[in-house]
Amino acid sequence: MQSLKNTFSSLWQTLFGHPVRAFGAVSLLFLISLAIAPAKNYFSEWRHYQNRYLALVRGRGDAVTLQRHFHEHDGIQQIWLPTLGVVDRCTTCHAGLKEASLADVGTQPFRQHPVIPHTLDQFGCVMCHRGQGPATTVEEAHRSTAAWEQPILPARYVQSSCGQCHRAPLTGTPQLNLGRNLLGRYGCVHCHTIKLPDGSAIKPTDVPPSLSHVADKSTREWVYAWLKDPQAYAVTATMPNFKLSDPDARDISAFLIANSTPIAGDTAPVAPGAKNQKPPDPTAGASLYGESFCASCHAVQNAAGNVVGGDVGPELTRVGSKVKPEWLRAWLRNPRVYDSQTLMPHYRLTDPQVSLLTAFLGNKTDSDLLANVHLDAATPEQVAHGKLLVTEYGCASCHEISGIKKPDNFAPELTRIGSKPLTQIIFLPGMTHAIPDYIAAKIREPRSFGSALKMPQFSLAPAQVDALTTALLSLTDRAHDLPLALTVPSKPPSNYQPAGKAGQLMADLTCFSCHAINGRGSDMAPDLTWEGSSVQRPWLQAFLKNPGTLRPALIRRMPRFNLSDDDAKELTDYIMAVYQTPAFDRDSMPSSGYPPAQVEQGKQLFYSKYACQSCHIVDTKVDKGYVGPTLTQVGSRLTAAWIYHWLKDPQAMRPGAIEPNRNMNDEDARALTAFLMTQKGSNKQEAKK
Amino acid sequence: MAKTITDYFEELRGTRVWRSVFRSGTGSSTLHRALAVQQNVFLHLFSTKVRTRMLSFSTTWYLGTLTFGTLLILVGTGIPLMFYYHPSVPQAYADTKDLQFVVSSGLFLRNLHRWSAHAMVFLVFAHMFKVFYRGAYRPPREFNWVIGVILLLITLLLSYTGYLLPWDQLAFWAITVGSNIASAVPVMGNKVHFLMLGGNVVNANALLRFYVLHCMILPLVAILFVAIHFWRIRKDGGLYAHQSEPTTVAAESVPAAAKGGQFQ
Amino acid sequence: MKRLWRTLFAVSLTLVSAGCTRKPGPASARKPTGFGAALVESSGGKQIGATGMVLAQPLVVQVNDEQGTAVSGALVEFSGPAGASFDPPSGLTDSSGQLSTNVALGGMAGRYQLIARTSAKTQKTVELKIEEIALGYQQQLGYQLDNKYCARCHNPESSPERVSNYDNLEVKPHPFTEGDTLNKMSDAELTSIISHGGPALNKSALMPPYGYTLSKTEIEALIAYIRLISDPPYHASGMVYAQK
Repeated sequence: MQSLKNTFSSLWQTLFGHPVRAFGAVSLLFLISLAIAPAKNYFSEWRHYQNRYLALVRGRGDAVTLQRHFHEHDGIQQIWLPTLGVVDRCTTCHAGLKEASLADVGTQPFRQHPVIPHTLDQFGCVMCHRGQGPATTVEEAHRSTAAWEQPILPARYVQSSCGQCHRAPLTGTPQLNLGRNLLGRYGCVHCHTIKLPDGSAIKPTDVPPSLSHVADKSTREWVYAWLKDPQAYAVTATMPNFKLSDPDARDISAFLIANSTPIAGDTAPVAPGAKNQKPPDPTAGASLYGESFCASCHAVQNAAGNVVGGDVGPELTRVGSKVKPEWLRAWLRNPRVYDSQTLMPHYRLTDPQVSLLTAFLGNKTDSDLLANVHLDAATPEQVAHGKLLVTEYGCASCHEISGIKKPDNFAPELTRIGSKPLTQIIFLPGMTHAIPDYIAAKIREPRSFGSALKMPQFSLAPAQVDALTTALLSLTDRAHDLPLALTVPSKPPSNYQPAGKAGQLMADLTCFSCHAINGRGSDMAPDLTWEGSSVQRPWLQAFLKNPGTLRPALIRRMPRFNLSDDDAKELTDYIMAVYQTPAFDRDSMPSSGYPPAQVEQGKQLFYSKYACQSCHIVDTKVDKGYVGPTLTQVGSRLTAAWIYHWLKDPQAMRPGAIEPNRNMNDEDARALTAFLMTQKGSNKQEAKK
Repeated sequence: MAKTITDYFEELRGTRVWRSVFRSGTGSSTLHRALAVQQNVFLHLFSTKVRTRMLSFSTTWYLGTLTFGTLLILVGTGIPLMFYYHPSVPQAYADTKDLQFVVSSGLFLRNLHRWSAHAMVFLVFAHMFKVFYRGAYRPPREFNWVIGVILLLITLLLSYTGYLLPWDQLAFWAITVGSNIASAVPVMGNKVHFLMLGGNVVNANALLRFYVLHCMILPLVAILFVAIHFWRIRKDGGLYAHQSEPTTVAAESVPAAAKGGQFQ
Repeated sequence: MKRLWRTLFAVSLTLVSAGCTRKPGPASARKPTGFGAALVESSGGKQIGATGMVLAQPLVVQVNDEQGTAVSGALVEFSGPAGASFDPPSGLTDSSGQLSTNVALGGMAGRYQLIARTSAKTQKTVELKIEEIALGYQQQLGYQLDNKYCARCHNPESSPERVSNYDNLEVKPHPFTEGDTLNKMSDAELTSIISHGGPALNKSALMPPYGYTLSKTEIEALIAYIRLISDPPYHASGMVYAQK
């Protein structure tokens, strides 16, 4: 020990004993340590990855080409787009990004970038993937660090970046489209304003019913059960669960019923004596329900638990427990008395039909729903408290409630939620500190962030939560600050409104709930913008009176509205006159009188050259293909000019049609038209499905 | 007889080139050694002879020297940094990133500059405390203490102005807080605030102003006062070293030729 | 003086070590109460999903013992390559011997071979390989095009929204999953038959030409999709991700 001390002290003396020697020794040490800096600079992280890339490339068949591409620019690489403020140095380490021949390499960071609709040099990397572009170390580039908040976007949300520029739906971004759809459908924007870069705001697409007259329609017990758990009544209900306590639900239901004002004519008492009449056929109600094609818009959950039907109107699985029979009768007679803005068409059912349907729907009950709901008569204090609760929870943001004004900005604005600074977010313990995780957790379970929060619990599947998160992540600062030339705006919604009596009829029958005309409406049923050029008048009028089956492969059909002859003629006149295409005149080709030779040639072409029977039926005995409409009566249905132009280019007549464009020459098209125009069918109407 | 390295050096010092550059010739006589210091433009501020006890570690802990050393490091790293840095608003932050990621040894340069700055502030305070506790401010050294305080202020101002230059959140808010404190001064506060920032908030004007202060005005002022500080040390009789403080140099390690005087 | 320094040093050391926050240790692994002999997939395998996204159906596996009865309380762990994640990544089987997990595939397109693992009574591990397919951007486009244009004839299964046309055709088309036939065709042949119809390869004219309806990018996307879903797999169809 002592000798060690001696050696140490003598060493110390040698090195630092004399000031000059001490200075020299320290300077030498300093110089050596200074060499660390350039050494670290040379042995940098990105150089290590580039060397690994070269090692990977060396053993391959296309090594020479890849090496040449690499050496044309080794060192630090960047994609620099000054106008967009993009400096992305990702290609320094991700050296193989642009090499198509590296498609079989699986290890990052040498993988080829998958095929996308933009080139890498167009927008750089960070626009889509976030992260820190100027960085050349993995930690700084990919992760959230002290100097840079925004980490790389997880792959599951990458479609959100497309949404920064593309406001219109894209084929390549189904998750984003679904998310935007859900934002409207679940009514998020009733409470959370979301402004778009062009100054407009996202509009909700759900139709929460007015509660100003709810006592006419429903009972207090049902309102109570609904408030406690909407999904117990209808699994597809988009109304969220506010997790109300029993007293709160009791008070709110008391207020809503007490606050309700009646509307004249929205209830129709059962005719005396009719109550005891049994319908002659017990399945008549179900048949009428089916013939009216209510399932095109309304869904019902069947015994197996599957929800079958459309989602335009509310689910009817337990509607008998919800609505009062007298209200239902009046509603089925004319829905517009109770709700003038409803999407439900005015069916013009006869009284016996109304009774049948009311009885049928009234049987759709669930005894468990209201079994344990026993409410005493409401006191004025409870009603007042209910009003207070309704104001506090912001029910009027979605529902019209008389006496309560719709609040503005009830919930925080989400216009730039995708770029929210992390310092402004309170995370739950154990959560990853990143915006996507925050948004997803908030949507999945809002009250986990605090039991006093007002945001209710939505019942969303994991894929829906991801889709909503994707849609919200696309609302970034960049989306709003982009130069206009780079954005792809969405089509402005059309507010086309047909005029005159036909227009009133169309509003009464709510044609736009299913059909699209001049850009307004839904895509559930065919686009009628040029219907006047495509169909023959007698057929159209007959169809409107009695819609038949055109496409046997589909389950949705046009319902039968029991139109009067006058109404049908009015509509037919309007359609034939107004909805014509400017491309051709519908009478430019005759509907009959084609030479037999041409008809025969058309038949040959139909079956052999073009093999149309794979999708269309002309002769029911021989043909079976039902992808497209049956053509047995097409000569009475469509105009010759339409058939001719359709055959030449289907997508020009109806965008998105799946009929392939055969690039047909004139002669073939005319021959096929001649053949098809001879298909007049029998005089009997086609059986309704 | 083998020539020693010392002999070779003596020969070198006798050549015409050497004499032309350094003007003081060969020889290790006291005169020659004194001339080597006194005729050198960089060193002639120092006295040619010092008391050994001024050189001992426990006298000053070399804090003043270290402070000056960090200042030299700061100037030496600061100037290369100026090659890459644009004091304009979006560019400043991008340049800091580029220094960190692209410039060869840029990260080292920046880090060394920043660490030296923090070290310098620490050392300045330590030097101030050491001077105080030693009593090295006593007459005739009172005015040097005042100069020292001025140098302390300059150091702090250099640190404060330099803090804004990376233009990140830390910089922005630090300067915002500091300038808001300045605006709390009664009577003149708001004017001082406006003068500091060239505006009412920290913006491009503030950045440019701070850059000019940090790179030009304050260093020049610092050099001026450092020169006065060193000159005062010289004139006040060198570093203050109490008689009881030990000498560092052991008797046997002193070069033989220099022995023979009380002063070394 | 020396003692003062020593005590200061010791104090600062303790302060520093106390100040360092210690993250709570990992949750103690649940103890399994049952051990099975076989692991079978109940549902959720062979799904087609998009890269990075959760698969539509949860993956449900069941642990059975030698006789084939379900074992509850067995610990099952899921693992997957290349960024596949599970929610939850492990768990105990419930009373019906099943454990369900939501699978999110990684960010790269290709076939993923996931592994479910459970311990048998004899300390051996029983493994089950499950394959899922992740569609990238191009393949996703192809999938949508297939749904719109091709599936009515090429997919023998009907759905509630759409009845299959497969049985109505005299010459049956090959489903796109039929690797035995489709893998033998090159990309050029596929492009040819899609663009110019059946007669381009001397096949039935019931297959119409889509060259004037679909763009070149769309046809490439369709082919990329077909290559990825064919069974047995097409050899150059993108990555197969498996552990080790």
